[in-house]
Amino acid sequence: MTAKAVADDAMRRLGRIRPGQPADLVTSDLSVNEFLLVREAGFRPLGLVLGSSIYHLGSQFRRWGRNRELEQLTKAMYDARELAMRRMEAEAEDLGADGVVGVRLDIEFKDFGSDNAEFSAIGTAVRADAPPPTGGSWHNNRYKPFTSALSGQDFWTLIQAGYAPLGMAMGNCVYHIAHRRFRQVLDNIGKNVEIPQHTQALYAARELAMGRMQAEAEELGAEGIVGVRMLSDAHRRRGHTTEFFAIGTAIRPLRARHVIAKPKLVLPLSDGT
Amino acid sequence: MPSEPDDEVAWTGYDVRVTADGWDGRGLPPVARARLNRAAASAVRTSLLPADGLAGLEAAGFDVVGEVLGTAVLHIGLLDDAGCRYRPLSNPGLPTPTLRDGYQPYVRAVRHGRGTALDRLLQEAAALGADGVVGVRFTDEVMEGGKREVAVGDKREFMALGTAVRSRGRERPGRPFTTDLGGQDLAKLLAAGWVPVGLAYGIGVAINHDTSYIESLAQDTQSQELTDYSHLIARVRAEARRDFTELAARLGGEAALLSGLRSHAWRVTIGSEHYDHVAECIVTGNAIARFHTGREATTSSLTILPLRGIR
Repeated sequence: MTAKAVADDAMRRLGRIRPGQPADLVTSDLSVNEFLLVREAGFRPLGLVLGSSIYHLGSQFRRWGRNRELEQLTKAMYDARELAMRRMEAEAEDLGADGVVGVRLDIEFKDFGSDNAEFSAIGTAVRADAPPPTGGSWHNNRYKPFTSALSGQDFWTLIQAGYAPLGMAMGNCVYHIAHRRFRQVLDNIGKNVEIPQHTQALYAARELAMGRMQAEAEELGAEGIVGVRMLSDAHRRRGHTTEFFAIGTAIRPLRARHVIAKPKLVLPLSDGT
Repeated sequence: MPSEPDDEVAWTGYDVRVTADGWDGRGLPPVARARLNRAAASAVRTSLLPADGLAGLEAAGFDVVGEVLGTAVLHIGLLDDAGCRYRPLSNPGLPTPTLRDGYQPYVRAVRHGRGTALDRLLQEAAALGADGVVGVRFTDEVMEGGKREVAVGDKREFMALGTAVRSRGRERPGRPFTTDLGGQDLAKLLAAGWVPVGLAYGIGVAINHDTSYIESLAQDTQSQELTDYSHLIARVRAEARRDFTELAARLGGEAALLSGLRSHAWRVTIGSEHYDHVAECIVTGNAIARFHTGREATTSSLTILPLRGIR
């Protein structure tokens, strides 16, 4: 069909629109590319789903000169995200969804004071046109809709390659990094040297966050985790305290062969913005 | 916007005064008329689209007819007509709700401002013989100063700016469509059998009375959820989404693609030692409709590997 004929079809459709008729309408948070690709992957958007929690982050005693995890803050940051995720999942279940794609987790400290953060989770609930080729359902082993932090493009590629998302796996760790003693500071003046206790602290904190994420994926019975991001965010107002947060999408195989069509090479003429 | 119910259009808290060049606030201002006449007389077609947006537009079978604008400046003179209804002492036996919808006069003003700006944009587009306006950028700003909270005495400018386009085919729509998508996205949507119908938005505002309990929680050394605030944000988001969906459906859309969901909150002082939190959420997006009915939309993606460094 030529462009002109398509444009004609489209304009004819607009001519038939009678505004003012209430209709069943699907809302989605996806971009045009994602909207079309998710449909092509065999899923139908059902609606935007979101959950949020405003959480007060208290304080925890820490020793000035010792590396240690601040377990209470770790737990608070985790629980707040968990609340937001669960509320989003509850909205998806209400819609009868098989999964939620394009989930974004955000934290904002702006509106309710510096110790009170809003944790939010937002995504698009989808329902599959057909059950998975493995039989059973698209739900994960918690009998909940799957969640995926992947973009629509990555989701399409994942399904093409014979994998399905199970759920988002996350792990975090709020860590206090020891201050150096006065002697050490003096010793290092004018020298470029490694600060072993800082290196060690960062290692330990990341390891804890990654390990917890992995444990979550194991609980979901995942074969692997894709799209892992390791974020670190210096805690507001409190120097030497940093949160390490690992998040990824746990996946399971849909078939034994995982090959996609060989991509064609293209040279884009746009400037990539 | 023509699809707004009449009571919205009839909203005027204020007199309409006639400007120096004789414009009474109805239709387009004389400067806009003059610009349209100039544009009609000239062979030059201005567009706000980048080069690849123009290429996308051509691939979709549309041509640019010119750039169009609609703007309205509103004075916000009244925010809330209810005041803080929290009265724990007047009826001590009853639990007093701390959360309520509010700021309705303000919400009506925002609706009126957005509707007027979009309507003027559409009038310009219609005068140029356009079938639609693509790449619409909407701004809603307080003139003088970029503060976050809403206050009495604000002058708010609502502006819609876009590129008017016309189909190369013979069919004309009943009224021009509007979308904030660019040329490429329009081409992709049309190829997949979807057409943008119009821009939709939704707004929700609610107020929470801050009891001393919530204020003490927010100072505690213990970490915990501030459920009152969670409810406040959840309420305005739900209201804005409901409002958005309703408008998108009223425009005749079958699906809606969100392009923005912004929410923010601020603290207002009601009296001495007495605060409320107000939260606002605005949702914007495109209502779209299918025109390839009866069979699956015809897209088939090609997996490609771009020969450029990503990032």
